[in-house]
Amino acid sequence: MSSESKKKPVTRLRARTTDTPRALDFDTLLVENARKIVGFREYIKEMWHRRGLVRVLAGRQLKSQYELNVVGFAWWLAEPLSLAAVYYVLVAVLTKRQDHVYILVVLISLLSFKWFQQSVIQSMNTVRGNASLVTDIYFPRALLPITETMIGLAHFGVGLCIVPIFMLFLGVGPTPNLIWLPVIVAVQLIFNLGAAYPMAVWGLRYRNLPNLMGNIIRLWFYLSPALYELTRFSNGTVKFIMELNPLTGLFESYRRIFRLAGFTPSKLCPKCASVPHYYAGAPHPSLIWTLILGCFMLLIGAWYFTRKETQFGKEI
Amino acid sequence: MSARYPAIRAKDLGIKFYLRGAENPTVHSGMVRFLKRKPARREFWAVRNITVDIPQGQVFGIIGANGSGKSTLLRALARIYFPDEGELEIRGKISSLITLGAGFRQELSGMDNIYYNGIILGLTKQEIERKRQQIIDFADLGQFIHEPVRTYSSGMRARLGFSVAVHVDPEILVVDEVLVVGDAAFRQRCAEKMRELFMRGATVIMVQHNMDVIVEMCQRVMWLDKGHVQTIGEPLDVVNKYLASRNLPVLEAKPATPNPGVISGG
Repeated sequence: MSSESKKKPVTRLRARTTDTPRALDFDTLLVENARKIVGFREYIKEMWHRRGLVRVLAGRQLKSQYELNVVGFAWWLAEPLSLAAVYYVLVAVLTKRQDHVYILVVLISLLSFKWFQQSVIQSMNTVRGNASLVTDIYFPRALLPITETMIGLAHFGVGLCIVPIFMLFLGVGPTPNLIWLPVIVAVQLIFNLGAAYPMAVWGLRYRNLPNLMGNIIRLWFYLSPALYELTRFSNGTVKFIMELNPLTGLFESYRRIFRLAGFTPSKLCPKCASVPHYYAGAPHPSLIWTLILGCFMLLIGAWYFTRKETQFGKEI
Repeated sequence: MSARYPAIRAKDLGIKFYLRGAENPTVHSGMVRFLKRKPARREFWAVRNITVDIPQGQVFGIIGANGSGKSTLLRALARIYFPDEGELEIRGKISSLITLGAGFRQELSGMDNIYYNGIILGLTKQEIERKRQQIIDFADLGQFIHEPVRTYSSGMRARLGFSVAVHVDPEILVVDEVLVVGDAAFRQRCAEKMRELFMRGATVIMVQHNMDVIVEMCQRVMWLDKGHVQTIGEPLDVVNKYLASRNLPVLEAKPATPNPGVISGG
């Protein structure tokens, strides 16, 4: 074979069903049971090479969903804002909780939750939603869940922009702990992706899964310390179980760095029990649990996705 | 003669589909199937036992009746379907023209869609900037390039799609029956562009129902019948065998076809 041919990128694809490895008349022995002989590293390389696709697909989606202007941005905020207002009023009425900072507590966890919800639900529809691409053009399909997660991140970022306004009005001063924000966002990105990959596979296969998951995720939201703080639980076992929920680490950490953690009804002063006491701090320790779980889910999920993506073109 | 290494090598390639009938798989039906342990789907091999070497620089045609697996094979060669059996080796940058304007956004202008479609087909931002004018000129849509694609006729859409796709400059181009779009002048330009690609040493694999085009452009032809290779060989030979099998009039040999691509006849 000429030297010219050596330079060309070679892609070898081989069905998994073949039983025995055979020496081929190519210059390489193909490895048994490999998804692609190009391997995982080559796949990552290919994804990196085609990363523009994420920007284009996400940008196109955002552009057609909301025109990119002031009104569009306001529209992005409408949902979390109105939800925060509803929860605030509801909780204020039900528990006679008087502090106004609570609306910000709810808003932060709502924004974070919306991002998670968007990543999972939209990823389940993403392959079918981009059917014309998947059936006609080759590209690493693993970019699709990334796209949905990035769209969620854009929403989250815009949502965070209104938080300072609330902080100003409610008198919640910023603290140096805010430098932790990128870390928490990175942990949530990993966790969201880890959840998005398997869901993209199952969402394509089972058509009614998005509906089912919508309900499960909503239930999950109420079971997570989003509308209430973890500090409200004094029972160690309950607290431990709550901390096993990967969303707990995220919600509590966002709160802590924004100086919204706490509300500890002081035992020393029963009279001032209804006076809110908020404090700032480094991220909640259970964020490490979220990170470990997220990494694990991402590794397994991405591996599972790349095994199943070879059938996407036919399953649509 | 330059080195003619195989651009595409398939060995016992098979692609199967699952027939599920009208059943729409749901979470519920999935559970029921799991509990009953019954496979609710039957296998169907759309193509099987395909073994072929396509040398670099060759124009390779695939013919066959409707439902013979041409498009499935083409999608497999374009890496859209993964082999369910056998092996496939591809050397070089591959681009597929299976549906023109795959991924066009109706509400965006032709100009924006050039950018989006270019990225989707694997061009970089800089490459698109460099080739933008060429693409616009080739599509020849005039002022309509600034209008949303939903206002285009199907011919205009196809022209824009083809224009973007051929400017990807692939080393291997996989073309489903898309050359039939457009008027005679546009088809002429397509043929010229294709010839330019051959001259640069690109490998082209095309599916066609127009036998004249096959004989004129291809150097080697595969006749696919019910998912299996019937014959591979000289275009006129294969085409006439195919036509004869369907009781259609065979083509006459053209003595002096100006085909620059024919070097060794495959």
